[in-house]
Amino acid sequence: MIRSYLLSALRNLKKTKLFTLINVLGLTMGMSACLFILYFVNYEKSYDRFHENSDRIYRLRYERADQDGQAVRFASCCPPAGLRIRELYPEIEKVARLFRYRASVSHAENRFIEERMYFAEADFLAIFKYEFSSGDPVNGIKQPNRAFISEATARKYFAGKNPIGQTISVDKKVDYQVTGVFKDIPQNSHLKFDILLSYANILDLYGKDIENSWGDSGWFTYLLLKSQADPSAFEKKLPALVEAEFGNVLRAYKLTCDLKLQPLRDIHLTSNFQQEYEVNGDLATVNFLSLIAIFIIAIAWANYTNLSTARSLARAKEVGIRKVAGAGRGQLMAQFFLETVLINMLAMIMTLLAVKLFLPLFRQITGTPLAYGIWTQQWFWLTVLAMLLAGVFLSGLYPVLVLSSFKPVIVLKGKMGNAVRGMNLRKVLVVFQFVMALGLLISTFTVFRQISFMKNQNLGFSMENKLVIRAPRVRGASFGSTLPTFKQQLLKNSEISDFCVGTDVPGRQVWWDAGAIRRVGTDDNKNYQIVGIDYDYVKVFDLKFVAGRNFAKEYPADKSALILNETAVKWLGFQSSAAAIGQRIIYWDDIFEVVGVLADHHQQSLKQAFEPHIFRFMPEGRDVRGLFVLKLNTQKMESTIQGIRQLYNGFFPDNPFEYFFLDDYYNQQYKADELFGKVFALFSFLAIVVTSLGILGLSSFMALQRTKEIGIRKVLGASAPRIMFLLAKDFLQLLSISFAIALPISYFFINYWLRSFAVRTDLSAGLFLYPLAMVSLVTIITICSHVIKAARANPVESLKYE
Amino acid sequence: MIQTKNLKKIYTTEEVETSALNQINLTVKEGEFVAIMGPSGCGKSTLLNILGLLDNPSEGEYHFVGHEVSKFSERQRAQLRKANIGFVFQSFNLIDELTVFENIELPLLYLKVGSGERKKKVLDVMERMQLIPRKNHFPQQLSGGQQQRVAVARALVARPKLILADEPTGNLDSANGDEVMNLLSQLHSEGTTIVMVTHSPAYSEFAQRVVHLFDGHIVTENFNQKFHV
Repeated sequence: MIRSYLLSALRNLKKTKLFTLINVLGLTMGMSACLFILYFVNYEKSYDRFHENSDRIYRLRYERADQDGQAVRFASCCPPAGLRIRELYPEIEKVARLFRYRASVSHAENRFIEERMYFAEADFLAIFKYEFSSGDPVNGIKQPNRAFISEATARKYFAGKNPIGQTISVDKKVDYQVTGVFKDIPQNSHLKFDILLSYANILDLYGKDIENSWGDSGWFTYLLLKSQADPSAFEKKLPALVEAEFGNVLRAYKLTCDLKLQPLRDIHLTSNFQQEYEVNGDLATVNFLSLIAIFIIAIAWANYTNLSTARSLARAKEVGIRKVAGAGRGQLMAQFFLETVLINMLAMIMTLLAVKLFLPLFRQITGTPLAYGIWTQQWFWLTVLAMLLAGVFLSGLYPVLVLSSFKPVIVLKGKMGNAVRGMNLRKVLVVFQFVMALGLLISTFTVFRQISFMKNQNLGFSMENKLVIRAPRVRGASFGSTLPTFKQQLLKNSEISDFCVGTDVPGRQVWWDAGAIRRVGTDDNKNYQIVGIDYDYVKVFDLKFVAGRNFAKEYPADKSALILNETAVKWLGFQSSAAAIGQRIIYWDDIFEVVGVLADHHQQSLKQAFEPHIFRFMPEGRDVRGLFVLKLNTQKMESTIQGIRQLYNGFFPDNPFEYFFLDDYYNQQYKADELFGKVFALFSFLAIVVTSLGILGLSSFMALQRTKEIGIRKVLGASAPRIMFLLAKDFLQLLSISFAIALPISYFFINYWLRSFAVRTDLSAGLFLYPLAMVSLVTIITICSHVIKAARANPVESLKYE
Repeated sequence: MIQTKNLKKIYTTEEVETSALNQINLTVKEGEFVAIMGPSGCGKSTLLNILGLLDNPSEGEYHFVGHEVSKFSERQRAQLRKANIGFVFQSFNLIDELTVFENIELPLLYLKVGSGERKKKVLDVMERMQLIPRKNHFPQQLSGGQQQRVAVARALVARPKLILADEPTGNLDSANGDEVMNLLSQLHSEGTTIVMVTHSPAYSEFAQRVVHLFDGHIVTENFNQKFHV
């Protein structure tokens, strides 16, 4: 029996090649798209789950708010919180603190700037059990001046040699002995580091008092809770701790302070605070993509249901014959289910091939690491199985029911009384597909419009032709006099038109953050972002003054002067920019005078609102930190950079020369959005292809079904275009209904998405009408292909069909 | 074998009630060959469908092999049908995707006959119908006459008590039509009960009895003289 079912199923699939092809292709695209999206989504969700006890590890973070409710929310914590918690709370098994330290590290001739280096308490490695290839993770950095390095770092500094026992020098000031080498940190870890240094050494750097400073931030604090501990109950105890330790100070400054727990597993997708190690993922994006995955597979299944019910007319006769020959309904259902199973299996095999084929490309587009395999994932095979089952039952059930219910008397007589059957369902499904396709297209248009809008915005500063070099960290005693000479030498080169020094450049959040700043005579303390600049910074970046003046040599008092941006003016409570000039500000315990106000510029991507910046003067020659910015005026990039490198190495030996171009650096912030846009566009495209495949199949059956009608109309004188219109009309009507449904839904979604941007593009009619025009066009072209055939055919052909 | 009492079939559309059959009282004995004749739309096919358990009457009784089946569900009818009735249609109604052998095999499959026995039975009937050389052909590769032979073979393979033929020669030229009629006639002589709808007065001669239908009524019943000598 099974053999006979199988045989007739195979022959049927072979006979109706177009139908089989459309179904298999549609399902393959739907399922592959779904698997690819889930691959990305699951990768994003896999962050930090590889840690033993990842469900018991929490990050403790710190928030400070002023009386207006303006708050700074840190990803890090203040130094003493972790310390006190370790002493006071028995439900906490372990506490470890980390402090990030960017510095120049060297071993013999190998010098690099290390961005991912941390001072770490020894317990860090008791909470996070990283794999070590050599050394003792628990005791290795208990002593001062010890370091753990990653395998990649070991290769970088000690190529070929055994790193254990070797020393690395940080800023040529302090030497650390390597006591352990750990395996490189996986990509799907919110915290990635290359070097860990003994925590004891941070106290040499900042003094022992830092351990009691409740006002500092930057101490990343991790807690391992005991297995029976209740995290929310523990979190509720924290305000009392803050009050006991720091309450008086907070009241004096009219500030409030909160400690918050973040589950380790949630950090990557939900954490977006100040001082994050890296830009984290976004849960909304991940959820959005999951939704698209469901949409696409649903479109493919809707296709299958649609085509199969439409085609059931063609199979009605077979059903009739089989029934007359004695087939029961169950037997017929089994037979048709088998066909559904075969199509789905075939599509699944193709899907697995497609995944294998396109995975490298997809990884490249989305930046998912090779280390996150797909074939070994449990979710992958569960999804494959679920899609097969759901595909067979969801999309197959209805056609099977329709087919097996045909009455032999009717179908054998060729009276297709049942033709109307399933018509409404088909219409609903087509509308559903159109709505999805339109919604995805509208969203794609919006994403791209927004990205190009952001890129073309006036950012309030100029970022073209800016080469940024990290200021040297290894400095001799004569550094103060070396810098001006270096600058002079640079500017002799006609290809370098300007030079300035600053603690930060646009393109990332300002790292220097200071609280307890207020106007003289008020007690309204707030947090501001501080940028240290020299005389030329404003000129180099083309920043615009709205009031006052720049720092200048002719005002010796400028050492205690400040420049504000417009947002800082508002935060400080001045009536206007002009009114702020000459006013005095208390910055910690010193008094500064406001000499100028700069127009707000977009320090970060246009997702962020303007933040209050205070520009402080960094006198040349003193402790200049941060970055050198060179304005270039050249076509010969290579040789100019080579010249700068030689000069830099000559002036600042023992320092690595590292540079970047500001525009590249700035635009990196849009990487995630561009990726989102690309992924979105890719899957919208797939959705539209699958939808048009469905329309192709469906309209071909509709044309077939109306062969006689077309013949009669032609005999009566209808022209080919009229007949085309006749057939396209049905689809275009459905498309109009779909547009009416898609419009408010997509409006809601894109509004929701756009809300995450501080500056956003307008929603113009085009965003909605172009997708409509595109889908209409695709529909008409698809229908045209066989309508032309039907319309051109000799009417006799279609009439003698009866 | 077949006995109907006051059989009625009414088709109802939105506004119109059409009476397709009215007060049909018909008896067919086992081994009989009955032809039903009448103009287009007189109800011949409707009657045949009801006799063949493909459809239910609106009113009246229908006794088939001892069962009163007029109120049977489709499921019950299907059970009775597959064991007892073979059909031959004007348009052959073969499944294009199946070979000659597989088409004939179909009723046995649904009767869940074991594969060995199935093969034997199919080959037997194919031999009788001289279809062995066509075993692996598909219907489209056969002439009309051959296709109808396959259809007859399929109707016979499960050895039904009754064969219903709905204008079996309607789509055939006279040579092929004669061949099919000879076949039916031979089956009849071997004891099979046959009810056949036909337009052809010549072919109705093959039947023992001819029932004339007009507007849903039986108007005359003629007994064929050659069977009653």
